[in-house]
Amino acid sequence: MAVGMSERGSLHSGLGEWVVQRLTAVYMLFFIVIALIRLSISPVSTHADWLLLSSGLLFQIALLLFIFSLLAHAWLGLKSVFLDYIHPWRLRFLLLMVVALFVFATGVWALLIVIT
Amino acid sequence: MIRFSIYRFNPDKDSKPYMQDYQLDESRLEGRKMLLDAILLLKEQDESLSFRRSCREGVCGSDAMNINGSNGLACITPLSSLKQPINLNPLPGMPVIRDLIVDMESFYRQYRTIKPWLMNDEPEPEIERLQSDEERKKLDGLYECILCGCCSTACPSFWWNPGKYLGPAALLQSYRFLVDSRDKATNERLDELEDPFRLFRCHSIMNCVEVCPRDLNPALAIHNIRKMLLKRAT
Amino acid sequence: MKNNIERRRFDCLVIGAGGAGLRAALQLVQADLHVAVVSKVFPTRSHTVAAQGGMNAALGNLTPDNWHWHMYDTVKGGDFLGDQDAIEYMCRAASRLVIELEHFGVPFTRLENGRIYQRPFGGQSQNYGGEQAARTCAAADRTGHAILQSLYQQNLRSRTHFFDEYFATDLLVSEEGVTQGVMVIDIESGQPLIIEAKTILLATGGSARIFRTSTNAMINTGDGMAMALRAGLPIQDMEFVQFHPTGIAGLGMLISEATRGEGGYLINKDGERFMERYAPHALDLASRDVVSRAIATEIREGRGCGENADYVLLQLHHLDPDIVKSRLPGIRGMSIRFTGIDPVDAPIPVFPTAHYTMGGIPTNRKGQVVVPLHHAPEEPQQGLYAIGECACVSVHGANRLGGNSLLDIVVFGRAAGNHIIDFLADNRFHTPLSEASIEQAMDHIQRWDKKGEGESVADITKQMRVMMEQYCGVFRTQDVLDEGVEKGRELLARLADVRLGDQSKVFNTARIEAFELENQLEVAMATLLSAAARTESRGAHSRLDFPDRDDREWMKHTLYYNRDGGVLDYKPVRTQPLTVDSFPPVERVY
Repeated sequence: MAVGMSERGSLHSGLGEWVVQRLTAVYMLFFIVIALIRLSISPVSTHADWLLLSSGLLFQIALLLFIFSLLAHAWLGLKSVFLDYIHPWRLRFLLLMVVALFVFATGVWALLIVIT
Repeated sequence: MIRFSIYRFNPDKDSKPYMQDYQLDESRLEGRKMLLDAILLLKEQDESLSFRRSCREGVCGSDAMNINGSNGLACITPLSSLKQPINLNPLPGMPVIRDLIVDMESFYRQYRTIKPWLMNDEPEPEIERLQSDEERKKLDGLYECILCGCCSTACPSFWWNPGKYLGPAALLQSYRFLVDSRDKATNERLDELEDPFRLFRCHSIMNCVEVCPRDLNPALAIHNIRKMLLKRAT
Repeated sequence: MKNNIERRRFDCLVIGAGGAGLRAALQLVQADLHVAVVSKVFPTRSHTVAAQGGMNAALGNLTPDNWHWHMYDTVKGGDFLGDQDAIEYMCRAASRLVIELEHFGVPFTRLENGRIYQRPFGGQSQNYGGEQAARTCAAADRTGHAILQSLYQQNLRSRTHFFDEYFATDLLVSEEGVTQGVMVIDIESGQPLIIEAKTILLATGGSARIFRTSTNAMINTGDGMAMALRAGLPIQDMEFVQFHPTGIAGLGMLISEATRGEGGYLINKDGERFMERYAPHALDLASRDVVSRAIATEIREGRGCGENADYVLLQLHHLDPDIVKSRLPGIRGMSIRFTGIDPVDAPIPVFPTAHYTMGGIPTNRKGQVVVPLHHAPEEPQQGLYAIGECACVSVHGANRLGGNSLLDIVVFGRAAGNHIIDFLADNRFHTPLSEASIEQAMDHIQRWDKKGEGESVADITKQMRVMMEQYCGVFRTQDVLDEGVEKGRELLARLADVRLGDQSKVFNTARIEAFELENQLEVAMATLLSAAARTESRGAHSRLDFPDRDDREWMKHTLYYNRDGGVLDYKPVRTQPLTVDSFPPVERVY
């Protein structure tokens, strides 16, 4: 009943994803803290306030980075969960495709909103 | 009376496992106070009760089992620390051979996978390979591992991906060679580890640290391996 | 039945996966031989793992040293019963083999200059009995663990074939007396298996578990010695059982001599450092037999500690706590765990505890089993080897020095490996197995299939252990020993009535314990009868009725055969070393 130790994965990777997951987490934390400070100093109460805020280039870049970080983080996290729990590879592939599609679509949508 | 509830399964006659209750008169312990002392006496009452044991002092790693829900060595677990009835189960996630005896082959295979031997291609000096006291101290907390299997079989990542994730014990041993100043195969070792399954299934759940009967810290070793990989990549 | 038994074939079969077996296997596998190792436990669980203090070699990293001084100490430590050719061989090889172990990866503790740390141990001297030497190479207080793991790792690297959790029951010997194979039981399945081998190496370890309070692991049941006895071979010098001065009182866990090497000492109930009276020069680092007798005497004369005055104390708390923590971490943990005492704060209760079997299967320094067959007292038994604690080379004589056992296993493991390689070059073929011996071995196994009511293995085992402690302890007399022999014979007779309640096949540990009981009783009888016959005091064999060493009558090795209820024979000590002058027996003072 010996269980074979599988060959090393062909991807020969893991480090990159691990680093990205940590970097995105750090950035999201940073963004949230800054955003909270900014909001506590001058709250955004009207739509006009919001438009004013979101028209700044720096804010747009930071917000986009935040959204992409969130998506990357979610993608890697879910992928990790699937690697842990979903062992039939067809099902895992399908789930990964669904998530990838969702992440991609959300990304494009967010991009369109922010730059227009 | 000390009360026990022990996992029993004998493939010769049982179709499925069951829990059996035992009682032990405390006076029979004659002052001895470890769990192993008690189950050795239970075996005198019922010789079919099966478990591994040898050194009875916590250095050989034979009598690892799940004690009241937590993995440990019976020989160094004081009875006084345990709530009754004392629940004894085989190490989780491993195929049971009989009663508290599990098939450890997958665990040993993980150990072999990390090439647990010193690699050094440089010509051998006629004296010892010099190693400073400071370099040697880096091996403390690593070389003491007794391969009892408590950590790996307490690790959810190991349960979910047996045969793919190396598990805390093997990774601790891998790090033992990675930081040995005499070992020259650091790059090859890191190559073998850099894999989404072998190393990166660790989610820092920390069960391994919690249960290690030698007070070692596999989670820290795994963290250090990642740092080595990162340092190499940058 | 016997035709269905599966058979495997190897060039060499090593029985036992402790340090000795693994070192030999490594030598063999690196010579491209087909070698298998049978072990009743997973290799890293072998008892070598429990060796704490270290391994002797005259590296001279701390104090001036050379192998000849080491040889002198070993001969003297063994009370002149050791074979000096083997001792010279071992002490000369020591330094090289420690270095080799270091190259294998053993994490030795280091000195400032990067070299291996060495600590003072009992019975070590510079310049033939002068100042204390520091000769014991250490990996903290886990040297055995470190060496065993490294040796196992090297075997993994060389792809040695392991039969883990297989129990050897009998040697298969041809009518001509040639050992052809071994009957083993696969513990997991319970099925017998015949392993044929051109050479067989016994490395099954010691038997000090025959005593109730023992530093030994539960697996140290003298299996190899008993197998040799059943095959008609003798075992040698079994009366010499080492009692380690410092086992935890009442429990037996080993507290290494390293504690005294690092500066600890023993005190009695008056707080007196009593070793000053017994060994004014070496004090607490006298030979183990000397220290054990001193402790036993203190207790007999009413100077023991505790309510029942039945132990003495080992004091370490005068030492720098950092030294205790870094050099003796395992000991400290063990003391805290089992006695609740942190040696940094208070002394540990200790008592002399059965520890090591100096005797064993007689061999020469090449590891060949030697027996008086026809003309000479030491004729090699073709193809059969024994090393380590189960063997008697004899390098330890009547008393082993601390730090010499890890050395013994490595030196003679390697030597036996080398001799087997040479032997196999000339003996290339398996001989057809003797059917009679297979039948005999199967009868032995099937004996435990007998059903019905009877005595239990646990009862007899317990009574044997108490009996050995009472009748064959540190101090012995004729009456007590003779009584012990009687008790032993009674137990042996009762063994026939023992029945197993559990007849199942899969991982039946009760059945293994039954085989182990048979083995222990064989060894216990050898020990009692050998001890009852030796009417002198030498090394660990201490007779109150014969307090002196008698070189004229007794400077000879005992050979015990188990036929006819136990037969004794004797052979001379090899007093002639290989190249140097012999150390003649002199009075032994420390």
